[in-house]
Amino acid sequence: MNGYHGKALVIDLGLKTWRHVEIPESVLRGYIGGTGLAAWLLYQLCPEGADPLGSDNPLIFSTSPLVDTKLTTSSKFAVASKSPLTGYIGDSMSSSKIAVSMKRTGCDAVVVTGQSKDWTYLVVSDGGVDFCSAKHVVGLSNTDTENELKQLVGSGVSVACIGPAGERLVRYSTISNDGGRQAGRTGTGAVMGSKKLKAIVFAGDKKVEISDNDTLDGIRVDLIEKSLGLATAKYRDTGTIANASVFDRLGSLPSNNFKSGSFKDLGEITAETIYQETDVRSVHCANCTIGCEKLITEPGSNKQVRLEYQSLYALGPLLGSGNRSILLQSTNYCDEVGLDTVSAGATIAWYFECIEKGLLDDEFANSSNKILDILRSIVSRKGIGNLLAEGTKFASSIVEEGSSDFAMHVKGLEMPGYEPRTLKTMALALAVSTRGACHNRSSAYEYDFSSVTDRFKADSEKGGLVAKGEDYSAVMDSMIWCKFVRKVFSEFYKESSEILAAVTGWDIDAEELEACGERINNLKKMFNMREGWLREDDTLPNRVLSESLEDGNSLSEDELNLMIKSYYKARHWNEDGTIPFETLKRLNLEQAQNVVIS
Amino acid sequence: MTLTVAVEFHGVTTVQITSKKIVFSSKKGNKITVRDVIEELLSLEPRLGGKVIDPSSHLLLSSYLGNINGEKFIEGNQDEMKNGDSLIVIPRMAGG
Repeated sequence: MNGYHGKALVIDLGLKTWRHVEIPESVLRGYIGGTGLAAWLLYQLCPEGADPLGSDNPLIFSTSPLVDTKLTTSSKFAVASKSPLTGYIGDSMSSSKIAVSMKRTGCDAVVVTGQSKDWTYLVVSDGGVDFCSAKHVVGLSNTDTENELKQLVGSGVSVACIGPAGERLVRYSTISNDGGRQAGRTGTGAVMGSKKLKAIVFAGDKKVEISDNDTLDGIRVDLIEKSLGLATAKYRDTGTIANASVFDRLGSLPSNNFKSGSFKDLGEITAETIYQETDVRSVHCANCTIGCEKLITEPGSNKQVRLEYQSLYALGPLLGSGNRSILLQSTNYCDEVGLDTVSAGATIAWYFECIEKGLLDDEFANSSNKILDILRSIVSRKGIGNLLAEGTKFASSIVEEGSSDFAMHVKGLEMPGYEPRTLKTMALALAVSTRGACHNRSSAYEYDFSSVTDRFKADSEKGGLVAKGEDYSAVMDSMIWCKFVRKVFSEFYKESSEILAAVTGWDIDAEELEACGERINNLKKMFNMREGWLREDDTLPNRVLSESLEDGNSLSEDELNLMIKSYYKARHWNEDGTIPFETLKRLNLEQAQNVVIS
Repeated sequence: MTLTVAVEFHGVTTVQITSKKIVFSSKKGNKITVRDVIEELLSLEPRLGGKVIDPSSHLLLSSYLGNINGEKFIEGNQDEMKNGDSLIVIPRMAGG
């Protein structure tokens, strides 16, 4: 088989055993890799009703056919599990050299099951798996853990690890790799922590065969050239932090726990000011020609901090803070201990409002750096931090007193920095996404920021747009392409299918590839349905549906339901959001639950 | 009749612009298009040529988007602008 190893490595931490299992070629062709393959493996290997933090919940790392081809932006992997935040499918992605190291261990996916009695790290190579005591790295930050293990095992290896947040099962903790990059959302770090798995060291050297190297060489050169053009200029020039002032101007920057769609104290933390007043350095993932990552150093400091728009939003305006120094300290702290900045910020914003409404005491009234001190309490699980470590959905269910009305999450996953009342396509995408309030699995904001649709209007054309965006994103996340390279394709499915054909030798066309996206999204929905999904889960926080923004923009429950109805229709689902047999059959999903990997 | 329109820049860091918001008057009558505005803008801020604006077509470069008053995203440069309107120039959104 070209482009793949055709197998997954399944590790049982409790028994300290491992085995390779074959993945049928039909599965690889139907789900490609990345989040698609990870979703398929999760559907097969996660028992119905598994406790997300129990031994049954598998933690799945998945690469893709493009990994190790040196195509620009293709060094990416996905990690999936049943999410401890939502109880539904959780997946996340990260990038760089680790994806290549992972694939060179001789498998397309690494599945970790069971729970270890003592803290462990694994060394996975093409020769097998070593189970090692992680006693000496427990409590260390992500950077220190990675450095320590590289020193111990060898500098050429790659490390995926958790920080103290994952160790203490903070439900929105991350998995870190390659010097602080994060698989951030849905709490896969907590799943890793629940297995007492501090790190996995990937140290393989096994390459896959490529079907047509000559064609792929030409494509590689062409893509590099295109990736340096205007389509990616924003990411090369400024990175995602450019969004801050843009969203603010368009009334789409959530601030003060979504009470407002703009933020008056943004000055210090806009990209424009950051570029003028600090030192900004661009960094590239392995095999990437774009370099969207921006490392920021404040004058008088020697600390470089990685800053993305979502961290800026969640630890800045969402908390009513425009202080750049605090923002950079908080972001850096989250990266080091392994906290998802979006969920952390949204949970603290909820806490601030509980204090304001007299529902909870302010345990940090005398703190000079309140945000950082609350983050520390979350990681140590001390005082109120122990409650906040559970995320907004669980915390608001404990506090009650109407606090769930302003707990800004969908299905348990906290809201990213897109204001749904002024971005109606995005509003629908946030409501129906299988992983909760997610901006990355639909890219629906792209329609709102274009002349394709009226972003202020909740209408029935939004359903088709979201379904289309989700299928497109599923293929991107399974091939795997970085989202930031997508505009270099003029005919995405056609060009991607040609690339997949050159790698694998398959006679695959645009239509077949597009169907893969639809199949993957339906499988994710099937997983959620099996885990108890209800129609009322597809909604938005009460604040969004009951309060208008200061500019008068609003979104009623009826308007949202109209859009949801149009989405179900576009998906060929029943009116109650369940999947009819005909749709399952068309997508070859009717037998999904009966496929057994041997 | 003289029309007053503004051009605002948000998230633009590739070129140092005199001001985030440039207000100017047009003597082209009571109807002007985005193209007219871009043409006048280029004469006021020539360094935008090749960085934000294509000087030959008087279109925004494809890495930028134009929006009128925060309400309507434009395609091309034929949209009309009225007295008091703002053309908002932002980097093309593709995630983050």
